[in-house]
Amino acid sequence: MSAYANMAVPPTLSRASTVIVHDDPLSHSFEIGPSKKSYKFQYSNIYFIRLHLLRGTVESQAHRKWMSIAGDPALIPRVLEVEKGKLCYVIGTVYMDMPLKPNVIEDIARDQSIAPPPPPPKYCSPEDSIMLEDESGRIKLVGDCVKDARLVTGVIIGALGMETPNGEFEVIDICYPEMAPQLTEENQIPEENRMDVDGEDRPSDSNSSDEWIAVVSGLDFGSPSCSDGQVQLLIEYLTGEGNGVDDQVSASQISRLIVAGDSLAPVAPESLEPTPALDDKRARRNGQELTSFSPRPVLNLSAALNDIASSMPIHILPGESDPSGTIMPQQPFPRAMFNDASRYSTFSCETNPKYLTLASDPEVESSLKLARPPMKRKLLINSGQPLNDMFKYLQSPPNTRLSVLESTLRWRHMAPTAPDTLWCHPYIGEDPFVIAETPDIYIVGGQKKFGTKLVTAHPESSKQKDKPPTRCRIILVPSFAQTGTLIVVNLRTLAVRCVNFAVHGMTAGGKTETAEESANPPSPMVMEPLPSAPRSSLDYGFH
Amino acid sequence: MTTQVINDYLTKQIFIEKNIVTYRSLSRHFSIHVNVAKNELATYHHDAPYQSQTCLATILLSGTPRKLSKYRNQNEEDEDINMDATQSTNADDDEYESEEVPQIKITIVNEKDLEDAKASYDDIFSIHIYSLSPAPLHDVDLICEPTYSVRSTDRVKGPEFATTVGRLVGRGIKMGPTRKRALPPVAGPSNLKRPAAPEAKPAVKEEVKEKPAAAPATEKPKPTGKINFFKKAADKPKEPKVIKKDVKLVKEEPVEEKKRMFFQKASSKPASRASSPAPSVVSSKAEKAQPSRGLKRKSSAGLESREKSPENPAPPKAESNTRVKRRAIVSDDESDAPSIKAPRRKARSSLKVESTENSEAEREVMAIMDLHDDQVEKVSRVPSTNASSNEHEENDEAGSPAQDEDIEMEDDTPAKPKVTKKRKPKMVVPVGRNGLKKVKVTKSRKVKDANGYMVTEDYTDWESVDENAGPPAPKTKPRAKAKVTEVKKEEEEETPLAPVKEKEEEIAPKKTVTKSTSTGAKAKSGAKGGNTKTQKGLMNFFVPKKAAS
Repeated sequence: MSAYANMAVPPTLSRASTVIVHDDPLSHSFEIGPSKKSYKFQYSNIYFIRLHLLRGTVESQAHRKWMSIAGDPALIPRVLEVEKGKLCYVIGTVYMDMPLKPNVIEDIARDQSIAPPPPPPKYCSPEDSIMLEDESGRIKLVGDCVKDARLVTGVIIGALGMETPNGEFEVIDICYPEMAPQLTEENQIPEENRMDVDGEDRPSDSNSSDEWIAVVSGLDFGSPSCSDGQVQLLIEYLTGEGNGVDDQVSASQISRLIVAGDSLAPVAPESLEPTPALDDKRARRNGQELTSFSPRPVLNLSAALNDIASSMPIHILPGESDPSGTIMPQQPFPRAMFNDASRYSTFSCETNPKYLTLASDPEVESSLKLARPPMKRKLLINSGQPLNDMFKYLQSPPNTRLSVLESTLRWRHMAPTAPDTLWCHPYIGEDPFVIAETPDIYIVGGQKKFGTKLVTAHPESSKQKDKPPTRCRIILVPSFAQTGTLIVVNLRTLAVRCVNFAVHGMTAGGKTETAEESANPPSPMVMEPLPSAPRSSLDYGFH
Repeated sequence: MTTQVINDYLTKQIFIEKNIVTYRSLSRHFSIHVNVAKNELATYHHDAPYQSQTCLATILLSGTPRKLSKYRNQNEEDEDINMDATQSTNADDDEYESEEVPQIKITIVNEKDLEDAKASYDDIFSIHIYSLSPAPLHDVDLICEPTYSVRSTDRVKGPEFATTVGRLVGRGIKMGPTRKRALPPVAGPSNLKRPAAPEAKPAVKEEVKEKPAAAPATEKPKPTGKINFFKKAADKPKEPKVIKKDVKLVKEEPVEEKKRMFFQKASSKPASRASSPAPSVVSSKAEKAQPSRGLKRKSSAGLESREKSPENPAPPKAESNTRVKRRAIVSDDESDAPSIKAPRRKARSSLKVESTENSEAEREVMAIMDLHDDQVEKVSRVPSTNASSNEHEENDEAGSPAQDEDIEMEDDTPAKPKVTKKRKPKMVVPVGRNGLKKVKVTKSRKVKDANGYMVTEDYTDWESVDENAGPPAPKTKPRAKAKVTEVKKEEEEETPLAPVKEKEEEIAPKKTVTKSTSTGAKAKSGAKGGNTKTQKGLMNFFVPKKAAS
């Protein structure tokens, strides 16, 4: 065993450093400020705006794609004006009519005394029909092309085809907005590093001075599947204390940590123990069920974050299971939640979808005198709700989460199902979920499994061949509690690495109780009261 | 080296105190680099058997996991929980072109399983002893136990300590000032202080809350809402002055007093300031009256409590002026007159401040108030001629009696003792932060009822008035004037309010009418700013005053 007693003390390592670019106009696009905090608008606005924003793009794409087709298809400006038997194309918003999709009207009509059936894992069924709609109305799309296409509600597409005698639109081809332009073209991946992206064997192959970032999702504090031990290993890895010198060096390259949602497990109501009526009443009066409420998970989380925050900047996003609003741009956690960690100015609470622009630290650059080009990367991060929701629309054998995520880039919309099945803020006059600019790195948390791909724009779609292709590293970040996986991304080369924290021959985080755990299905998360609800203290004036 | 010291420490921790010692806790304890600590643990572990002490080690491995052509195979071989969860559940996902990325696997393992664990690695970067313990660890979470002491050491020794132990610290990582310590002092007084601050909406609100809330607290709720309400209203004015009243009351006093003081402070200052710029409607009378507002309010409260004392008509008079002015601001809807908006918002946000304590009581009162909106008018019609007891009820019932009362006194000849008497028991009108009394405003809101339907309901709320109540006054004038001409005759003899009332009631003898009218008006105004009638009546009211001044 003394064989292990030969670890060298490395020279003082300094952590790679990146800075946040604050002047990015998109970085605040998901904050709902006081000016936007109105819930009285109709959701239809979002569809109007979305169509308005993307119609032009689809039009030009469609024109380019179909202009040389025999039959000379013409653009019909309104879907209801298509003529029978004439080849043409229309542009509109996809609407999936699915019997299994949750329906508000049914919800209201439902017998309240009977518990609702559990939501189906998938909305799709053979009875689905796909519609294309715009301001004028909607038309049903048919044809194999549509069936095979990966479509969800809210996507803006152009459809080429002709109207059939029974009023449907037989689709031959579909056109998407395709990937948005990328503004950071001066920071292309250096040629010599290309190889790393494709098949990199050892992490040490990449330049040791590159800046990396770490992404973790689904820490799930408070759930039985969360293992404090694994989190402990994670902390030690990130702070550069654990493992050997090599690992410590590679840990020093990680410039910041992004926590992509689901840091806390949902608070499960104590449904199994019937409490005496009296207690019940009292508990209800106090507004919370005292029996099941424990601040412990939050304390553990903030302690863990504090450990990491003392070592590197952290960005934390709320996620589906977190105590945050349900509607989609989830607003940042209150800092006070993370008492000690919040004292670090480098600890930032972010909105749930978040554009983050990172750049190499100019001061470090100059001090190191390295002949490296300055680096600037735009990251788009969300905690996974949009993708999880979209995934319910699609049959999963042909479709994978990664492919759906890739599609969102081609749709130029990160959450097309937003007002339909994914709750979102009733925006008026804007749709912040439209991807106007392709990010360099697109991270989605809250997934079951790791996946990554470097998506490059279709060569035919990029008109100027001299321009480097648009490319985006998409990453599915699996739940840490389930997989023990930390993802690290090289900001310069966009290379990705997985770090697994595993336990061998020990129980971890009560994994042995998995059977019991599954008996309690995850409960609906505790929602913060909707701001539109009347607040008693405000509304009851005194006469 | 300090190895002997470390040995002793480890022996003590592991064999005597039966603790788990991790490399971190060791490094923190001796302020040594973590890697040195790891080596120390290894050395100790290696030597321990010779000293007939056997401790068990957990070992941390890192390296690349064994790579097989297919994930699935790896899955079978690798029993690791994590891999399990990842790969087996959505096997079909694997088919998609997810890129293969380099994997690093970090495993913690008991020494007896070390060889097993090693088998799952292709290449091992490092192996080191993670912790030593008297018994094998069955649950990883046990390694967290020493973390608490590690954290506290880190906290105590500060950020410089990080380099000693080998913790990486990024550039610009700085712990901010301990906000925790700074906060409490601020937080405590903030309730009170906030009003004084520039934005300071709370102040106004507090008052609003304050008064209604205080009332219910003193009295136990009575069976019917009505009675309950009267009681409260009657008692409230007494509270500040009449100590003998009731044990409960006495108890209540100190708090009340304090709060009141606060209000006065807050209100009196701005008031004096406000009086000069206050435009059109504020007559010379008002100007005289306002500087002494704070005092007056107190005294009037005292008087009211005594109910029958007719003595000082003067203070109410002074007050009334401003009140009238304020009265002009009445809005039916949240969406009108932008000028009104600012003050309103103030009032609202300030309500929040006290709401937590008082909401219960407040709600109670509210419920009662709501009940009576329509009843108020009826009552006022009934007894106009006689029955002081009835009179009380009427007065109390009215939502904002103070205004009418004062108005009446002022415009009437001040020396009508009877009149004054009757009106005394009244609701106290909350005073805004700017020293002006608040105005009742009707708003509507949408509420979801028990059946889940949206119901629109009107409710009234106190709102503070803008100090330079310019906009509302002009607005009212033209309308009011028209009215005035109509009613002029009566006006000369009666309160300005009277004429309106008169029309409604038609019969009552004059003296009593004054009373009843005022109450009626009161009732109405209390009931709803929304009633255009009431508004007119009030507007009517202003005009004569103006003319007089």
